[in-house]
Amino acid sequence: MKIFILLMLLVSQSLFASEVEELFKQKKYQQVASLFDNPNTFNPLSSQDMILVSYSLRAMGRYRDNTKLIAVMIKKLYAKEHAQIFDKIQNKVTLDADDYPKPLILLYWNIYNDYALIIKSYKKADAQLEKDKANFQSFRNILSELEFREGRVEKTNDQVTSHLQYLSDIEYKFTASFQLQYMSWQYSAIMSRKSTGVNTDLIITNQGLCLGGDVGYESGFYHYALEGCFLIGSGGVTAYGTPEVTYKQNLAAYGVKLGPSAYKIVSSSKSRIGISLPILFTTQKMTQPSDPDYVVDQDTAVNFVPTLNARWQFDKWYLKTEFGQYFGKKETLWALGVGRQF
Amino acid sequence: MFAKFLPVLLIMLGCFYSKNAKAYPNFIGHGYTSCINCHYNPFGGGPLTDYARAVAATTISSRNFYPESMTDERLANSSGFLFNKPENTWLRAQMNYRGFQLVRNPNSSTQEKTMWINMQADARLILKFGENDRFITVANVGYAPPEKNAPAGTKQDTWRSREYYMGYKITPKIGVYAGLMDKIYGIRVIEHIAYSRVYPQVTQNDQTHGITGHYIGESWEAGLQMFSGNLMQDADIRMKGFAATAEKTIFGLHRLGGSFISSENDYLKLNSAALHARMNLKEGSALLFEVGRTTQTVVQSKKEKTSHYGLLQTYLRPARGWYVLNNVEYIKTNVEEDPYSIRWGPGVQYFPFQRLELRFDLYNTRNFSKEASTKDNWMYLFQTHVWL
Repeated sequence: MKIFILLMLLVSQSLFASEVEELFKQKKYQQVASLFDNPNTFNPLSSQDMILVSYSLRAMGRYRDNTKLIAVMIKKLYAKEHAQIFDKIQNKVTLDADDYPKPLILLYWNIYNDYALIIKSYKKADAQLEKDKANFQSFRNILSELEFREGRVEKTNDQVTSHLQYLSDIEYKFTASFQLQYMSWQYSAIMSRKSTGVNTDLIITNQGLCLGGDVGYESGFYHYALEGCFLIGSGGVTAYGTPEVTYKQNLAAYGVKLGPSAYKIVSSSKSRIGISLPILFTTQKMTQPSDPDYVVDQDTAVNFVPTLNARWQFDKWYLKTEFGQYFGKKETLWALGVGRQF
Repeated sequence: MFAKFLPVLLIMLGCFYSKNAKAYPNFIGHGYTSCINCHYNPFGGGPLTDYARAVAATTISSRNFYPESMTDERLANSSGFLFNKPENTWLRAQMNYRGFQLVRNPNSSTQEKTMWINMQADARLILKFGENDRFITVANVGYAPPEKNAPAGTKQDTWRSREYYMGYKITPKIGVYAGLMDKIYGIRVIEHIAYSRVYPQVTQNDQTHGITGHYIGESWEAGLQMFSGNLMQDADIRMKGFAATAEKTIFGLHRLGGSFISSENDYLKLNSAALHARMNLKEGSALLFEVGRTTQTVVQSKKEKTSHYGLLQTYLRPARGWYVLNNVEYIKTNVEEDPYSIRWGPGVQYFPFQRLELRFDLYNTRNFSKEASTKDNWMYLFQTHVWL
């Protein structure tokens, strides 16, 4: 309101209250603001009435219309000074606020705040936002150069920056990466002795590399992807305690791990935590013992392995961990990998 | 095993969405590169400074149990001993308890073992004088649980001091400390069973009497320690020697460093070296990394054994008060032999309000050997940590 009174005093050219002023005093903002909508009612307005229309537009929440009105006022009333300010900023010449009319600076302040409110009203980014951002930054620059209300200008800028970050964060973008993981997983089997019916649990502890990647969509808060990799590795299996037979093999393993994943992004560096629900398919053929009394019965080659994942981002590169247990079984899988986003 | 706890982990993680200490090395994720920000001991461990207690109240602990009207400023003002704001600048008292429920081989009908361990119950006194606490004296006395595997007839004190020392900052950058302190080596992670602490013998009862120099510059921090063993022990088993550590801040965020320790008693000579890194991945997310080599030599037989170890600790902070961690450790106890082990475990750390830390850790140890294929070892623990 102080700004309003100051503007009124500075711009006022008439000692007599106009019809517009009467409406404004009666808080009939809608009626005053509607003068902007019709060139026939807007063009004859005095600069004093324009200010009243401007404040009415703000009162009605018509911030974009108000930026248009202020632009007209600047062009109509302070075209020369505005051009000079613009030139000096472009040529990096220091500005002195005392050299310019106070009402002009207050118009800059108002239009700056209007653009801030316009930007903060966006629910999602679009082409118009880029134009509003450019205008907002332009008036921020002018106010900063004029050293006008610097603290408040920066506070408003912080709020706008925060909202722009939010708009950027809620937007889902396609992402893809490749990754190489060192992985250890287990595979079990049972060796049975037909003559006695005694069973011996066998477990293969494998390790290998899994080369693959992920494709998905990522916002600033969540990341949903399909992850997959081709696995190559090996593992050993031994069985002691069966005096007649010592079963010992080292077996190559190949496979595929594929499944959806969901992450929550928890830091500005894009570190994230999530879960993955992959299917693990491995081929690892165990030979039968030479003694025909023994038979090895392998577990299924396809397993569902829910994992708890975490990922730490270093710009495009990332480090990733996975830890999970086969669904309905005791075997586990864990992996440590590095990846790079495209 | 993991599946049994997955729902617990998910429920705990789910709590992050329900609403909107101790100073650990992973708090580099909050921008604290140096231990001296939070501890009187410039290399970490032991009593916390007033600043650290306020940080624990206002940054580390959650607000889940506080009303909106409780401001962070009020929380900071109540972070002193017994919820008081310190009334003087020279005397501080602190109490600290840490205990946990340990379950080995869970789900095994014959081998499951459950025990509650009171790991630490300390009372601490700090005297500090001068500008920026130039002169400090720290004393600690606490309960120490007797070693369950100690030989029969071994006399074990259940009360002991794990540290008492005096410190003097010659300049703001250089300090000298003398007394019973932790050895300076590697990343002082809280897990005292970590291979990176057990093999170089820098774990929870490995304090030593000695003198320690500390330097902190713009981007470098370093220390040198000469020690004569724990004088409370018999002379023949005191590990005497020296240790050195240095870290450099890179990109204003991360720390890269190296450590060396050499010590010996009448029976054993021990040399260890490590490279370590702590990385700040913002808003509490951090990575801790250490690789090391330890060589033990039996004095009498000159028999030597070299071990390699590795540590990767990863932290994420989904919400204030919550940390999700992954502990990945590697140990090859004898580099000339084939077997090695990897211990892998997720965990959740929760600070519901200041002065209380709850933590769940799951450990899955897998052994790799050409000669034997064995089932994994499982262990989990629920830890409670209270500080007053």
